[in-house]
Amino acid sequence: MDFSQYVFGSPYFGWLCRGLLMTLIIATASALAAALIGYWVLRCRLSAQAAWRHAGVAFVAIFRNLPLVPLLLFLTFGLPGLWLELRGRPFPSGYEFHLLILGLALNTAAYFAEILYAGVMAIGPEQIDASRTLGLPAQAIRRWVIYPQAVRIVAPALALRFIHNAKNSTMALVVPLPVGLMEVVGQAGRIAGQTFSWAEPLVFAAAIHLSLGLVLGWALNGWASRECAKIGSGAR
Amino acid sequence: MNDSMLATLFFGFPLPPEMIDPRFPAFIQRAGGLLLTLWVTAASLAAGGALGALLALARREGLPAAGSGPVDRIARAAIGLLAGAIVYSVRNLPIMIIVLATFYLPYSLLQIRVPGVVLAIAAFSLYTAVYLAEILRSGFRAVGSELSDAARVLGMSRTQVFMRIELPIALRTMRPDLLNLAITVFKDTSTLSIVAVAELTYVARQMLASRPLDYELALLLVLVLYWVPSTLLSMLATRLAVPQGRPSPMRTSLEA
Repeated sequence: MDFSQYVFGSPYFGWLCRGLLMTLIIATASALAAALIGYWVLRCRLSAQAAWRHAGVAFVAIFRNLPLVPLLLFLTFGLPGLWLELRGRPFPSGYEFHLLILGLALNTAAYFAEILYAGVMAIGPEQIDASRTLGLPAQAIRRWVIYPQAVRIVAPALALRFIHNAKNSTMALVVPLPVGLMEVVGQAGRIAGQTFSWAEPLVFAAAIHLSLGLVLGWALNGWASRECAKIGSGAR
Repeated sequence: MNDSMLATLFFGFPLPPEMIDPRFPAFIQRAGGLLLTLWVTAASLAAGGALGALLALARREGLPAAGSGPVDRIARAAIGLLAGAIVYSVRNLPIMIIVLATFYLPYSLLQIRVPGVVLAIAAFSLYTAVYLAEILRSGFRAVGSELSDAARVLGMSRTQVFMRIELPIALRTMRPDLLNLAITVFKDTSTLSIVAVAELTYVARQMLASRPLDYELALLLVLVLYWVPSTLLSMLATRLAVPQGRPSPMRTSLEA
């Protein structure tokens, strides 16, 4: 292996830095979108109306069991094709990045909703009855009684899913993105296309993901164990 | 969508005979589409199962068979550390990087050429093994030492304790996790499409390149072909996770 082309300031070094930045952006954006979608799917699953509950269950059942690569292929190729057939005009171009974030978020959201639902189910029903007796409105019960405890109970599982979501950002490789938006494995592929060798860029991509996993794991596991320590202590 | 497209999704593109490497089984090199996806999954689960058991054994404190001299102890610690390092690093790498590394490193470092299907099985066996090692570790930890101690006191040998007490109990608690691992491997084999292994997703991408009339339908069908087996398996996993004979608690008052 020859690393002489990867010194500080060389173009490949810049490409890898760009890749690292995009990996962080993709991981963060998709995690935030997943948290948002997951929250609403959870609301559906806890709804009093059967139709909403079924919709929530269906969302989880669909997106938890779809692999990401075909899902992203469908979103970036199949969806524009269907759009053209149904609407009669071409799908606006330049939305591949948004569709990538959407695809990653749909997958992670299904897991988030399932994990959080398990957390909510683990809370004793007498607490909700007690809150109602005390006259708390439904919104306040969710905000101050159910969610803090549910998150606490499932914090380790949520942390694991966040880390998994960051690793999933590498699936962006199958999405046709402009070079500036490619994440670290995509940039490694660009370098491999120029140097005819995957070995060196892959070493860097692997090192970046290992350190990312180390940092994320340290931070999120710390958060999870702090949350777990609050179980039953009455702390917010 | 016509019949030949459908057949290609299920069985792959026909492979010219000169492409088949005689050193490896031909039937698996000739397979493609969903059939190859299932082959790679099954082979990886089998090979990864054996490798994962070895990894878990290496990481287990106090290997039963080894001696207890200082050299044995150092060797045991070294093997445990090595196994731990493998499990930790592979678990923290995205499957995309594992697949790319398995496909591009053997040739660029050692100039070895191996058929893609064999490399695919190697990559996913490693992937299965590290996750299995973790499942086995937590499964056996959940058994608790009281039962095995009691069995030892009653005169069972170490092998008997393992075969009759620890293994059956651990297997029961691990069943859902094992099924979920199988689902993950099945779904993640779709990453093989980037290294031109002719499994289901690759076939779909090849169809995409030639833009047949209704490729959106083909892509949807691919999603269904992945969705049905993994949904069936995950329903089974959920069933096995609920303790038999005791209904899951019914909750009605949560509609706050």
